[in-house]
Amino acid sequence: MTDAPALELTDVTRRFGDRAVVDQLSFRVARGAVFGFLGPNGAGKTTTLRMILGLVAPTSGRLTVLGAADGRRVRDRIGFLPEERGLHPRMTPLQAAAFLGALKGVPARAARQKARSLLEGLGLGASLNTQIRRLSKGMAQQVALVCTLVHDPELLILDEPFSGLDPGHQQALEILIRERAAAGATVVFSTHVMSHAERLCDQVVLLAKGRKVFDGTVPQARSQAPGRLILEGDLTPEAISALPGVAEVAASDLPEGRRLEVWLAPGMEAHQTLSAAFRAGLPVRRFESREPGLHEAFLLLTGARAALPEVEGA
Amino acid sequence: MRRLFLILRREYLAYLLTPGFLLALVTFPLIFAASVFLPTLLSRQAPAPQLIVLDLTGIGPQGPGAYVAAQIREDRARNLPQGRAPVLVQTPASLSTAQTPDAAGRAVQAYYKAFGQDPPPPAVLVLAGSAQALDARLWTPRARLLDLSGQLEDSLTDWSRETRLRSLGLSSEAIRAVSGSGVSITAYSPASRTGKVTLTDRLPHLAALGVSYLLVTMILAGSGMILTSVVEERSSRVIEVLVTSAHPAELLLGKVLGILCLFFTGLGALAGAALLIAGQLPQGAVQESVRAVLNGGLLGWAAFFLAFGFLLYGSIFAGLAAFCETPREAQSLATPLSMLMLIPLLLVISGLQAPDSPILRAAALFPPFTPFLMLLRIADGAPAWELATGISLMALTTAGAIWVGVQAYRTGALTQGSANLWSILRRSLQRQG
Repeated sequence: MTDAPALELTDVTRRFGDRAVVDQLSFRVARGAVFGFLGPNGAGKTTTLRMILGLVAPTSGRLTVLGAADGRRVRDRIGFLPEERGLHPRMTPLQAAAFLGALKGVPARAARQKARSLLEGLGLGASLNTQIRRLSKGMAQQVALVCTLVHDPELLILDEPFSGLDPGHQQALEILIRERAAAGATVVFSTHVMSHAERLCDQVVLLAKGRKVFDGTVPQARSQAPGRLILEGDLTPEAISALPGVAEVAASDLPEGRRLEVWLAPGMEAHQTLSAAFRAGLPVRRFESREPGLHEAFLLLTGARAALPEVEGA
Repeated sequence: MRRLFLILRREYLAYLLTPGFLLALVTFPLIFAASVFLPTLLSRQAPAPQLIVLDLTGIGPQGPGAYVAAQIREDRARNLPQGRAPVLVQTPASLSTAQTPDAAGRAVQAYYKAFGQDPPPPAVLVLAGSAQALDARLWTPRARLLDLSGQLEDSLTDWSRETRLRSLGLSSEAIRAVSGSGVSITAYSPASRTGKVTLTDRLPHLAALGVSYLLVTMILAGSGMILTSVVEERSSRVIEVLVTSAHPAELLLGKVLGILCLFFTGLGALAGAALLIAGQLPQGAVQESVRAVLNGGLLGWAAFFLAFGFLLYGSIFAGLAAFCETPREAQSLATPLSMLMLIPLLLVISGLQAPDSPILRAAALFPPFTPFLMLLRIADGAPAWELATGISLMALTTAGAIWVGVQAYRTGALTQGSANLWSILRRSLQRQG
């Protein structure tokens, strides 16, 4: 990573009529970083990506992409995968990759060789010359990804790249993102799926209603959310609420005793509350500490916690 | 430029390598040949009209009925085309009793009623009056004018003239000499290839008409291809990938020029084949016609105006298509523009009779019409200033159309969901300002 950022936004605002879709957004992405752009639907993620690409002009603010003031000036150094993968249905994967690679300045023969190698690497060797309209959705998505990578972009912008992929293809995409980052490329992707961001990202930005609500690393994001303790035994919510660091308690009955879900105050460690419970002689039969995940941080920071159902295993 | 060429090549190959293009290459000359030969073929295949001559003048063997019948028999002996040589039919008994034209009319109507419609009954020529005031009525089973009415008029006029000349005491030989006399004028012009003005000299004008038709056909077919292509790219979001890889002007011009090259490939192949075939034919009218069309660089001008016309209209169509989610939306937006092209087409058809008309000259300088009309003016020897003005205005308008098309394409392509064309164009203009 070098000091000069791959991407820098300073107070960028985009309005459509009276509505600010992106409002005073600022962040910078270091070169070689994997950057996750998170937020609920309508948060302004796609509009921000479009501004970065130069497809939409900001209403105000400043934007720098690979040192240029406009993504269009460095379009040959950027690879973009839109949410709905855009490919000519009657082209074959090799033709599509050669065409889009050539548009980005790669000689047709080199683009074909590169595309062949990438497609074969993704297990699509048998479909090199099959029209894209005859491929399955997952295969077509992989072809679109290969078309994005064929010119070895310095900045890779992926809009919801995991949506619609089966777990196998999702894993293959994660590996590919890591490989690109290891090779020095900067990867910016938007997603709803926190587990991908958690595994991949060096930095995440959370958007809600066009405004930035968090900018930092994944551990920093997690620390924004409360930790949780699961306690089982002949316990009362009142006794548990009296323990240090407990923010909220939810109880449910078991055949024998109760199950209590305990949310801790931000910055409070689970073992401190647990030690206090034992010191107080509370009859705890079973306990389980749950570290806060990015999912909880997302819900908390975007204000969606009350509105959204809890996701098991998140 | 590199990207423009790449997009042009993709569009070109996308259509060139389809069965539809090869099929069009084969069917186009067939349709052209059919449009030339079909009317003659239909005329030759039509059954000869049948005719009953009912002479009520009472003049006898020297009367108009006998004269007309003799002329018809002579024409049939000369093997005239079927449509021009009717077959004489014996007068049925129901008609032969009529004494006046009105009575004959009633009898003919009763005869038609009894005869049926398939095959149609014969036409009936009812002649009454005298040589000085001949009353001739032609009854036909269907209410339409027959080609043979003109022929019958000529024949009866000849009879009337000959009868009057005979009454003045002229002999039959003298009457034939008078009837055969006449003066023909031969026209000469330095603008004619051979010096003497012939029908061949009209061929460049007809070629200009052909180019106008071709341009309208090309624009209508090409606009359909452009609309479909842009709408498909928009609905499948290919356009989002493309606009991050190339400038909208490169995308739009590449698309329009790719389809233009496709048309030129087809036209080139057809023109080459036509020239080869013409070269194999013996010296004569066909070779003379080909030379007349090639003379004066008319083909070069035709290609020039086809290219400019297609660029002008194609750019606007591509821009409009970028606002549409479905081909149906695109077609409804494009229909008014397509209708506009009928105006120059009507003008060029009318202009064949009067290529010097001030209206035609002014219309040829109106940029959207110049590609259709200027060729007719060139064929008629338009002055250099007129040509230069027309081309300059057309070039400027084409550049403007490309600019508007690019703005519309850029904005429309990036608009998600339905778009308000006018507000987006206004924003484009504000952005440029």
